[in-house]
Order: sequence, then structure tokens, then C-alpha cells
Amino acid sequence: MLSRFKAIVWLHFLRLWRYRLSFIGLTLSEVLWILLFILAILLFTPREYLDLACRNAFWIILCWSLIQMNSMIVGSWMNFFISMGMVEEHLIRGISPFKVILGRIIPSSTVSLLSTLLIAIILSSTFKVDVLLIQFPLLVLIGLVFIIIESLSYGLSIASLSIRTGIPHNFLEILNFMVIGILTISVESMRPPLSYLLLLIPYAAPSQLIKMGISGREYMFIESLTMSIVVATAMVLMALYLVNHAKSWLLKNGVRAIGRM
Amino acid sequence: MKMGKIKTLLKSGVLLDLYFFKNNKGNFIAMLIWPYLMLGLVVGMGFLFGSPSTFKKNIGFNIDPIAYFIASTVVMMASISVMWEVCGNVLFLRWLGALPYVIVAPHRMSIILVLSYVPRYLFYTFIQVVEFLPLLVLLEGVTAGIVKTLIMLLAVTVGMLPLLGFSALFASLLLIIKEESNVLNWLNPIILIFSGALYPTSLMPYWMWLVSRVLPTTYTVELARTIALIGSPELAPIMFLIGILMGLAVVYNILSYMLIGAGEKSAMKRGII
Repeated sequence: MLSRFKAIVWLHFLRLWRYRLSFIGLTLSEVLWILLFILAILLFTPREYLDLACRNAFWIILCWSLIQMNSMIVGSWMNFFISMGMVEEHLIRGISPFKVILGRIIPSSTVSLLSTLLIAIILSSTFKVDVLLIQFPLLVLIGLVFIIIESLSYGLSIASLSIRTGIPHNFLEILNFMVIGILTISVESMRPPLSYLLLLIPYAAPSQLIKMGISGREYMFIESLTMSIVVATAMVLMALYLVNHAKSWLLKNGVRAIGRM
Repeated sequence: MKMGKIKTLLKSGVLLDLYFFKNNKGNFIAMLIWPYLMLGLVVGMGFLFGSPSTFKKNIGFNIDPIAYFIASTVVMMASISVMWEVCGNVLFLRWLGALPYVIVAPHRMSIILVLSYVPRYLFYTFIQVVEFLPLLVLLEGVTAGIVKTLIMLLAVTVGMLPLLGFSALFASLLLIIKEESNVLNWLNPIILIFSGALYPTSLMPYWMWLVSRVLPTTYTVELARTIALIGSPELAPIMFLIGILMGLAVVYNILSYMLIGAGEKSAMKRGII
């Protein structure tokens, strides 16, 4: 079990190294796109609120980058894996292809981490704003962990679904774009029961924890933490169910790779 | 090149797109949704973190932020499309294994890249500009909405001419260098940043402003953005920007025609595939 885990981790680190130029290119393009949008958004902000707006925009876009990377780099890899004939290779050796795909968290988090650091440096030097200055780092960390768990579960669910049906790349991107809307809505602007309903939407509760961590102002802390646990658990369970279902379907029907490329 | 050959290349471009949309309806719907999503993201988050009055103050003009970002979105989508479809086509052909066949075809590669793409560009940008017509009519009224849509159509059509040469120029570089996808991935956003696609060039540092002056997209953005000025757009600045774009079109297309030959030679010398 441990040697398989080591092999998967080794594989992804090795790929990350061999395709380092691609990953650096991906990081650069991610940074530039994010910067392009942040600059546009800051045009609306008065100078006296630039500091707060910069920090909020930075953390929202960081969360989006994590979600986007986990769904695209993890979720969309199944097509490539099938086309290479790797699913059968792993199945006959008793290794779940989904465990291999889960290892994609290594390149996805590397790209997210690198782009976050680069954006933080650029914003700090351009606008003289320390975007990493937060009131409760622990709350931000907890929020980020939940975001990662939820987005990874989403990525795995997509990978499982793509075994049986094609997932249109464009729609996946559109869906990820819409997530920004969820991340920006403030729970404070809503009254119960609407605020509870908002927290039930994936990523909304962890992003609320992150916002609390940045501003240092607590609002619906217990509710946000509870909803984060509930939603993350539901998403993990759903991903596990879909993975198991896809695995048994694969063993019964085989891999359909024709027409994928 | 004979007229008949040009007609064949243009016809192949038209048929390719018609059948692509016929067989990929999901892609067509996604194409319609994308521009509104980009606009919604910038304007939505902008209104959340600030106000339209601050926007006008920061820009220094009496302009409508929604019309401003409609123009930005349209030009961004158009220039991304040109860069990927002309420049990225080299990459796509290489992946398919069809690049050697295209290179040894009777037409010059730059001509194939540009002519087979022109119908697609016109078709795509027409749809993307016109899909903002209802929003512009809602914001500005029927007559102003239609006039501003026509100005945007003019901007993206005239803006296409230098951009085609500019992209073919990069295509020739892609034939020479390796790891082309990495270059193209970050080339697009960097060109858009320097062109002032979302953040105006007038607010940039001087050295960035200087770079922006040689990019054709800068003038396309400025031309499209005349629609954001409150009141009727003036003819003089529009004609001035069209003049600059035509001049750049001549320069970039001559340069690309000369340099793509060098790219082709280098690719053939190395066996390219």
C-alpha cells in the first residue's frame, strides 16, 4: 500500500519536473490573467479602500484558482489517461486509476501556490498592499483546507463521470467562472434563512471563514464552520460513490477510448 | 495568387465553421455565454468593491463603465481568437501531424493561415458583437445602441487587419522555437495587459505605455472604446484610429509575409515534426 502511494507521488513529481516549462508557462499565464482582472476591478475602487479591496480580491481569486486548478488539472486528466491506455494498465495491476488521478493535486497545488506568491509580490510592489496581512491566519487556513477538499471531490466526481460520458471542457470552465459569484456574495448581506441557504452552496461557507480571517470580524462563525464540514463531507461521500460506481462499471464494460481525441 | 485559389481557401474556411457549429452545438452555446461571463465578472466585482463614480474619476473621462467593458470584452475575445487561431494553428497542425502537408502545399503557409481563418473571425466576432446589442439598446436606447454596435463591428473588423499580420509574425517564430504552447499561453494575456484591454494604457508606467504604442490591439481597444463615451461618438478620433490601424496592417502584414518564409525554411531544415 505504502509503495503504491510512493509510486504515485513519485510519478507526479517526476512529471512536474519533466514538464517544468509547461507548468511554469501555466503559472505565468494564470498570474497574468488574474492580474488583468484584478487591475480592472481596482479601477472601481476609491484610493482609501484600495488596501482592503486588493486583499479581498486577492483571496477570492486565490480560492477560485484552487477550485479551477483542482477541477481542470485533476478532473480533466481522465480523458488524457484513457487516451494513453493507462486506465487498463493500472486496473490489471490492481491500482485504482482514480488514486493516480488524485495525485494530480501535486501539480495543481504547485501551480496555485506559485501563482499566489507571484501575484502577492506583484500587488505588494505595485500598489504597496500587503495582501498576506490577515487577522486570523488559522481561520484562513481552515477555509482553504475546506476549499481544497471540496474542489478535489468535485474534480474526482468529474473524472468518474467522464468515464461514461464526455464532459464538455467549455462548460466546465463556465461553471468554474460562475463559482466566483458564489465566492463574492457576502453572508452578512443576507438574512436567515437565506444566509443559511447560501452557506449550503459548495465553497460558500469556507469562503466566509476566509473573509472572517482577513477582516477579523466574526459573523456566523459556528454556522459557517458547521456548514463547511457538512458540505465537504457530502461532497467527499458523493465523490467516493461516483468513483466506486465508475470502477465497477469499468470492470464490467471496459474502457471506451475510441473517438476521444 | 489567382482569385480562384483565394476563393477556394475562403470557402473552405466558411464550410469548416458552419459544420463545426452544426456538430458542436454545446461549443456554440458556450461561445455565446463566455463574453457575458467576462463582463459580469469585471463589472460585478467592480461594483462590489467600488462604484461607477470612482471608476469615472480614476479613468478621467465621463464614460459608462458597462459600455467600456463591453468594448474591452469584445476586443479581448477577438484578439484571443486571432492569436490562437492563426498563431496556435501551427501548434494544432503539428499535433495533428498535418504541418508538413500544409508546408508543402502549393499556397504559402502564411496565406493559408490567414485566409482560411478570415471567414471564421468575421463570423465569430459578428456574433459576439451583436450579442451585446440588446444590452447596449437597454443602456443607451435603440438608435445609440445600434450606432455603438456598428462602431464596435468596425473596430474589430479594421483591427483584424494588422492583428492577422501580427499573429502570422508570431506563427513564424513558433515554427522556429520549441515549446510553443508555453509561449502562446502567456503571450495572450501579456499582450492584452500592454494593450490596455481592461486597465487603460494612460494609467500605466511610461515604459509600458511605449510598448503599447506598437501593439495593434491597443488601437483596436481605443477605437472600440469610443462607444463608452457618454453622448455621440465623434468622427475625427475614429478616423484617426482607423488610419493608424491601416498603417500598422501594412507594416505587420509585409513583415509577416517576409518572415514566415524564414520560419518555414527553418522548420523544414530541422524536419519539424
